[in-house]
Amino acid sequence: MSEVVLKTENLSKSYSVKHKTIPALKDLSLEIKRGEFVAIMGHSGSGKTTLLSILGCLDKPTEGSVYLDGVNLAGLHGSQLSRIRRNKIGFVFQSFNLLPYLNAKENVELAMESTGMSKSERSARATELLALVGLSGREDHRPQQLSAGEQQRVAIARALANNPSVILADELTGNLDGKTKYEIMKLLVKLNLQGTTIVLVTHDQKVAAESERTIRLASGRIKSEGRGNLAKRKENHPPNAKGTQVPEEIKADEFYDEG
Amino acid sequence: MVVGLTLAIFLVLGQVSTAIVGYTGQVVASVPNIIVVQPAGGSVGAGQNLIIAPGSPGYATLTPSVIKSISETNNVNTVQRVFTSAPSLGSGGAPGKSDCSYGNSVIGEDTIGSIKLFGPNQVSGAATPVVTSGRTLDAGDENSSNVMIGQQYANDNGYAVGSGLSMQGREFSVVGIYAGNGCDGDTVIVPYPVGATAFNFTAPIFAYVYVNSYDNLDTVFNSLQSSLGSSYSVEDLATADHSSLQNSISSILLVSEFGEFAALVAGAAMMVVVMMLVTSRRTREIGILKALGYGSARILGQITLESLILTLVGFPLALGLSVLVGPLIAQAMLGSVGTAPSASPPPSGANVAVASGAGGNPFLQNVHFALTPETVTLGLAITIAFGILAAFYPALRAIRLRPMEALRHE
Repeated sequence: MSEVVLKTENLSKSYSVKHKTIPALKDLSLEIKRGEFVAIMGHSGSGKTTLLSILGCLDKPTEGSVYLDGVNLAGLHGSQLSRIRRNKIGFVFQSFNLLPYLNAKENVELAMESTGMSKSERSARATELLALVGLSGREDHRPQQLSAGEQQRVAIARALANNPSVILADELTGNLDGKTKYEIMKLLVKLNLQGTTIVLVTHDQKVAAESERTIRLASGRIKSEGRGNLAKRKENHPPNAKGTQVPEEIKADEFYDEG
Repeated sequence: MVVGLTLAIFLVLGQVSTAIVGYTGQVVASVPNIIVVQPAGGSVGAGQNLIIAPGSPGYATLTPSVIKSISETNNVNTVQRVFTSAPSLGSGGAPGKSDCSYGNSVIGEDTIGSIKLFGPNQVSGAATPVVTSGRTLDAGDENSSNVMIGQQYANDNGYAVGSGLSMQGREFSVVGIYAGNGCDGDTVIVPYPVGATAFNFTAPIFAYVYVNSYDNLDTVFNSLQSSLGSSYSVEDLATADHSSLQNSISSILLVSEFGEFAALVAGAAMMVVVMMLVTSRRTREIGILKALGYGSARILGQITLESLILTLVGFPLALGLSVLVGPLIAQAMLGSVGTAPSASPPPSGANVAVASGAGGNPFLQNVHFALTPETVTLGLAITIAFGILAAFYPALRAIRLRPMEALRHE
């Protein structure tokens, strides 16, 4: 794991509200390498979601640059940014953001509709992804028929649909209970170990601790960085001959009280 | 349902407006466009004498050259000459017994297919006499000795169709008798050229100028006033009739058109509100689609297309509702009282004759609520246009939101 997939240089973002300028990010520079699992932490208003929006081309910086796979996103116009979101970024949100009138499989297929894949290809890929996230047999269920954790799994499957360069997750465990949170984190770690780059925004210490690297924001700046448990696990279990790593699983009791 | 009601009101009022416009044309066309020209000093009006007797000031000024110049005026169809001869004027008249203090009048008119009956006590008008026996004089009688006589004259003197009548040493033949009592009926109508010669009238006492259309009445009127000068009196008989009718019809038309416009605006406004509500609820969905990499143009096109489909699905339902509700609205609007609609709906459409009861509007008794292809097409076009526009604006607004804002939209 060496190349940089996401990079910011002197990134700043301000919002104008009623003739006042409110800075959300200030001169922020960071790098995220391919295959990393990074957790961005901070209190409410620290700029985490703003950072994620800019990394995901959902918003533009006021100053500074953002690079994704070496491409400077600042100079791109709307349709180019849409294409990047479609092909290189997978989003997962706290509130799942599934379309209620589509079933699980159709929600996953939705991400592939503008990619030129045929209907059968989209269908096969959606089925494969739902199996990957542990939802085989639930393809025809609508979001209302799934639990919160299952809905979030569908959202993760949708985010993986186009083999993105990076998964951006905004408080994806925020609406989940302890046990479900654990299941989701196990899934994310599994995906990361298979090579998916993940950037996770969270205010949950336990969730952040299971990442590989933590970046703590405060008042729009990077306050500190640290190593997460996954980094130690990866060091202790280097890739095998097939190139995969199989560290021990996250301990359940670190997430919820089984008792 | 909103669309249906709006469409019903719009179509009804549209039909009413169309009927009014059509009826106006008919009414206007039915009132002859007549200007009367006579030597100055004479007058045409209710209860007034029309006669300028030989020797009176202005007599014999409607010379053939003046008549010719009038007939050559632009937009003048024909000029009808009239003379009147009555014993009271010392200018002759018809022989025989008379109940009228004026005696039995003789009126000479150029026969142009209908006789305008003017006598000493006649009001100005354009009534064709009601023939009780025989026929009226027509163009073929122009130089003949055929005459029409009034019923009173016939009764007083024992004349009938086919009777001979001697006047001024010339024999005339009765070809028709018209309904008329008293002085109105004590009249003999002769063709102008023959009568003028027999009674030695060198010029008509007045002339009827027939204008080719109501729209040109003012032009001809002004032209004659200008060309004939103060020696002649020029009077427009048609305007008063037209004006009062036109005013009534214009008022109804204004109300109808205003109602049509108001219905359209109200319906469009309701449709816009509904579509805005529907589309605004999709703001979050728009945010999701943008996060998934859908472009703004594609999202806008998708929402607009869905609105169009919604509109097209709803239109037949709206049309059905308007067919049911429209006749009821038409009936209520036209103020009919009493009788039920006089015609049952035809099998092929929605034509329903509006009731024409005692309180019904006499001008609109034959208005039909009809779903013509034109009105359906217009209704569909308006519905589609407003449906698309109504969805377009809120969709555009949602697309312009920052995606994260759209995603947080409830």
